[in-house]
Amino acid sequence: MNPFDYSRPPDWQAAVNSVATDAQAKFLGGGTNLIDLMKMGVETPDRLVDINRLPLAQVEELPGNTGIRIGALVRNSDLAEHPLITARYPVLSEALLSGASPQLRNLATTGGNLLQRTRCYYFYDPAFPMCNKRNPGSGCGALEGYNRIHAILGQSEQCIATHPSDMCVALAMLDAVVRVQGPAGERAIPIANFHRLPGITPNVDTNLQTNELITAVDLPAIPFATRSHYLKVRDRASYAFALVSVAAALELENGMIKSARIALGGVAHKPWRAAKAEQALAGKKVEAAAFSAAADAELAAAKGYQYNSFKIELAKRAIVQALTTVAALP
Amino acid sequence: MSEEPESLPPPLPRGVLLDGLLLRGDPETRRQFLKKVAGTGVAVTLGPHLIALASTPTADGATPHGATKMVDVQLKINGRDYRLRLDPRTSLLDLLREHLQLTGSKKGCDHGQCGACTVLLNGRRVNSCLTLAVMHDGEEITTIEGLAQGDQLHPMQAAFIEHDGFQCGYCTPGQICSAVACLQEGHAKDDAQIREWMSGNLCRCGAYPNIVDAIKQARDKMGGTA
Amino acid sequence: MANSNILGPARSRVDGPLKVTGYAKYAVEFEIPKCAYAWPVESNIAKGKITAIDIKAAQTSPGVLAVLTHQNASKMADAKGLFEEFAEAHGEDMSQGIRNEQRAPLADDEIHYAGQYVALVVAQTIEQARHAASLVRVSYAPELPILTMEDASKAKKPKKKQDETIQLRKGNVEPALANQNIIRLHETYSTPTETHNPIETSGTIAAWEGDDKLTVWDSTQFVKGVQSILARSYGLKIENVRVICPFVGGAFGCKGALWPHVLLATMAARATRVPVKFHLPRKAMFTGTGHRTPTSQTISLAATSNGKLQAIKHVTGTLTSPVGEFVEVCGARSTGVMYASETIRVEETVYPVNVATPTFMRAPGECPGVYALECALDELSYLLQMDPVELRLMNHAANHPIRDVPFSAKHLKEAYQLGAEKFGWSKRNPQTGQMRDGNLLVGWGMATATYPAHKMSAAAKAILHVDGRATVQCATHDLGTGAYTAFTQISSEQLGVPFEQVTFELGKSDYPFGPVAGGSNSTGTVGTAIHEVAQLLHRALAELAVKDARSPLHGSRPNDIAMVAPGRIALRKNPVTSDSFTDILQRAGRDSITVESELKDPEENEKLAFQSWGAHFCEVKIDSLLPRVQVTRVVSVMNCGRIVNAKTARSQIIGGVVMGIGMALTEETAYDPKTGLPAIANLADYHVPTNADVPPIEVYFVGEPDYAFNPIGARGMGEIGITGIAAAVANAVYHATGKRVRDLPITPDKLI
Repeated sequence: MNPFDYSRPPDWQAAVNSVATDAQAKFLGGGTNLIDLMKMGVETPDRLVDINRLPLAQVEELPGNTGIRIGALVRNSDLAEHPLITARYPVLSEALLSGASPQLRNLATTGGNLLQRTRCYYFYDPAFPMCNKRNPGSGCGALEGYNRIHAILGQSEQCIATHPSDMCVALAMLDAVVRVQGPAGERAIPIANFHRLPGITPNVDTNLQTNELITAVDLPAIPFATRSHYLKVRDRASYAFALVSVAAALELENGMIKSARIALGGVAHKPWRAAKAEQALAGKKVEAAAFSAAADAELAAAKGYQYNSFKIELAKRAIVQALTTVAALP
Repeated sequence: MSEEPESLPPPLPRGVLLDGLLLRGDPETRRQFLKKVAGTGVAVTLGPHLIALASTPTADGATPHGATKMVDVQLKINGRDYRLRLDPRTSLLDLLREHLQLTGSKKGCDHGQCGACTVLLNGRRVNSCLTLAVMHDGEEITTIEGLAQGDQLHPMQAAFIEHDGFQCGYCTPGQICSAVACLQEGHAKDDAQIREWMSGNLCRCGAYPNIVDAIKQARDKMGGTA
Repeated sequence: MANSNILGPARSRVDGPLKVTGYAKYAVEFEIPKCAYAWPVESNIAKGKITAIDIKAAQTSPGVLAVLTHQNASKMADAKGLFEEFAEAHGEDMSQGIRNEQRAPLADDEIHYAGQYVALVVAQTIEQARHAASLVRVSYAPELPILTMEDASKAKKPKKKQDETIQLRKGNVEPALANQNIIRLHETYSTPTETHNPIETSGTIAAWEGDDKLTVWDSTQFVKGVQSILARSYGLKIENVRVICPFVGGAFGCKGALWPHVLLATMAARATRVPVKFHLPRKAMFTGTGHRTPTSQTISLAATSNGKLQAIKHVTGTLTSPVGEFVEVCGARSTGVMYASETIRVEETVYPVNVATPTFMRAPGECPGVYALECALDELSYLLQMDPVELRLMNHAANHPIRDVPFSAKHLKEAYQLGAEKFGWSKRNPQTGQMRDGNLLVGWGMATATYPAHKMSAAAKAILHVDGRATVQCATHDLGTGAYTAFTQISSEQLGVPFEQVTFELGKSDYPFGPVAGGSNSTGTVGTAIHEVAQLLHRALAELAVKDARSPLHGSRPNDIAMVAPGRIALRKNPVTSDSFTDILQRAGRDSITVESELKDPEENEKLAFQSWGAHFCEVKIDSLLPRVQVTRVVSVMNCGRIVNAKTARSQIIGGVVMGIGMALTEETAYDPKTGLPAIANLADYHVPTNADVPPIEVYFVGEPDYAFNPIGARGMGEIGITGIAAAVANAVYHATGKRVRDLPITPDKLI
């Protein structure tokens, strides 16, 4: 971990200013990912701007029943058990509680979770010489390496890393909006545009500018989100990243699917909104055949590698299982 | 140099080794045993401490090239106030272990992957390896050394002994801190819930079934919560 | 049946209060004034040469005291002798320390495996050392590494390992294996690299006083071994090297040998003239302290239609490093003892590759070996349409199959019987895929467990105080095994001093010799030393008493005197004539009396074979769509002679079962196929079981004390729990799904 200056600005304006004037500065939230990566030597900021005491830890209703605003510093554990979340967006609560451990969830923040970096072995350990994300132009070590946990959708020859978050998969399914403050003022980034696919710039994870601070995440009002579920498939029973995960919600009417929302985790460089599957389900009867067809449609474009091809079938099955579970909810 | 220091760990262990749970019957042997086996503990006197740690600034107060600027921080650890000047890179865990000799909190992975470093931060369980000490100015930390009340082991500690909820003992302080919080959170209603909510604490010796039994005993003894 | 006469009292651990309060001091936790911190730089190529090392930036980084490399280490640490010692010594006596890696760290510019230490940075704080290590720039001339068994160009077939024949042959297996008229099976089972990963990583504090006195606080399973190797490496008097380790935070084999970091810490302390602490980062535990080699095991079986085995052939391939000497013996200690087959053939081949040096890990050899054999037996049971327990009973070996001498105190049949009863095995539907719990597939599987009873040498010192207290010392170890407690119990019983008044001390090289805490030998070996020292103590008391006119024993012959009850010695033939320990000392005006036993070779009984046994029964539940295996119930019945402490013994078996569940389902150290670096090198990716992975585990013990083996009657039990459990899980998975997975771990992808 390289030496850095530490500061704790009194308000978000000062925080943004500190980071805006130093290209190597970083905001410090819960620290569970950033400090980890600094110990590994992957992140090397020269200044840490501690935002933990900024007043951004509220969960509140937006006016006129338009949704809920989650402060960027709401801890994962508090968010998961917040009554507004468990009542209206159970999928988010499930996703949060399936991630990490109780201790980590007590530290990790909503904003930090959005910025979690990949668990690709070749990225995480600088001993590996090749990683376009860590060291642009060095190549992708995973492409012909041990790529069991890697992407099957939306990847590029430059990078086949996956996004590791559970929370973000639920947010993607819920059409969350990320609110940020920067030197130029406030802006809102729909979650679909927040994370990026790797393309030729896998070193850039998100469309957040380095001098912008996440202040909140808004969840729109989605009445049928009460009928939602997060399903996570992993190698051990707990405390493990997803091989594949699914966040799903169904809007049902007279045994028919009026609309469906599905997002996948563990399969792509960003939380993967399964638009093709959603399309395939709209207007269909609630039945296993429709679920399978939707899963097939979404994974038709998937591509596996030496060690991760199983994820294609696993993702299909996980979609079917998640939809089956949601359809059976009261 | 000796592994047998003059001063005993403060002020907890002698009293903590209760008669019923004792290694040895008589207090003198117990003291000897602690001297021989427990080894050192920092002889902390009461009241605030100013401890300057790590690289020293130059005479004019400037930081040497490539070094970090030291940061002043106040922490309340196990009820005692500490005023510290720290290299901001110091994790809370390394502060406890390497500078304050509170070695009860363990380093197992240093990356938030095992839970051995679990402490209570303002009453909530956290991985002390993944948080910087300077982030917690003015905050309260309870480590395993701060759980017992004088002569009285915390019921969770007593239950871990009775149910053999450990073997090598290295994950144990983290398990116990985590278990205390697990009860307080209300996440110890049944076996399945305990297992899930204790999964952030790895035990390579495999004491899990005994840990679950210990937590249930402490839960029932404490009327559901801590 | 569960036999109460083998079970000692369920005492809580004597070291429990220290462990639950955080006051148990592990090696790197001793407070040593002015201690500096070391951080390693590791090779990121697997084969080749270092062409240059640039340490300038690191050296001038704040707080840095030294940067050791192959270019300066020998000179800076004045350690030339160390490198010579390491270059020469091979196949040494185990009592003098164990080295699985036959190369001194920083010896030269050669790289033999990825993760090899190429430099060590020493600084005033951890933060400074870790940062400075990142500033060291190493240039290499890489060569193409050999990383797998398939690519290995060399193969070794060692005849023996520590005097034990490992290539076995009983009769000729080939005719039966070629006989088309009987039932045959021929399958290959593989296990991946597994890493011990005790939660306490290895670590050493080294402190020199002058040039000729060295103290190390080292997390080790063998304080005397570390002492011996360090003394020889630096040419020091043995008594000038002290090794201290009162607690070990788990080991499972990876702290048995002396690994390079211990030498690096001592070199760094010598170079900097300050004490140096080198607490390994978790990542270094994947390359720097050994692992269980991957195995490829081909089992061929032939049996008559009623299930009688005619031939077992077990052919194993394992790996070692170019600088390693370790051989994982898989078949000789499983197939070589397990069943009464007409013919048996065992072959062990080891291939050197450019991967870090492997070592013993809990039940080395037996663990993977029993896995393969017991899966094959299960497969055979389906071919025969025979119950798996019946098949094993049919081939039960009362005598050692190769040596043809009886096994001592073997109660394996009872273990099967009791296990089946407690588990409810009779309700098992023999067909696969038939048992359900709602949507979940249910599978029941079983397997045999076995582990040899090992015997080593130890000595002990006993001090009896006039107030009745006793202190017993041996340079043995408590790895979490419960040694403190068990030896306090054994001392109490053997000396005749109440448990509460005994202090047992271990973990220090100052004490009489204790062997490596490995091979499940400690309880029996150190217990025997305690038995011997107790005899000496009673003899010494008798000698005092017979000379004392005030003693009822005055004038008797010491040979006629023995302990008759706790705290008393008496005439063997007339126990009424007795005297108490404390009275004897008091009248003699002694504060205490001290005796020490001699170190001698253990007595071997060639007329019997000594081996521990057990049976595991387990249940798994699997979602057929998303097939992650959950173990939901385990019953384990063990037959390992006397159980000194019922509580800690149960914990030991549970611990073995939990590690076996990890082996079966989740654990694998995978390597990058190009660089040879471990891709899995942390506890997020190396999946040891969590609490949520582990079900209730019932443990029972059967049999009787094995007094033919040693005077304590205990055959040891640190390892047997892990043998067989992976097979029981794999067999249950097959029973649930009809799918036979022959390469561990059984992760969801293998069941899709």
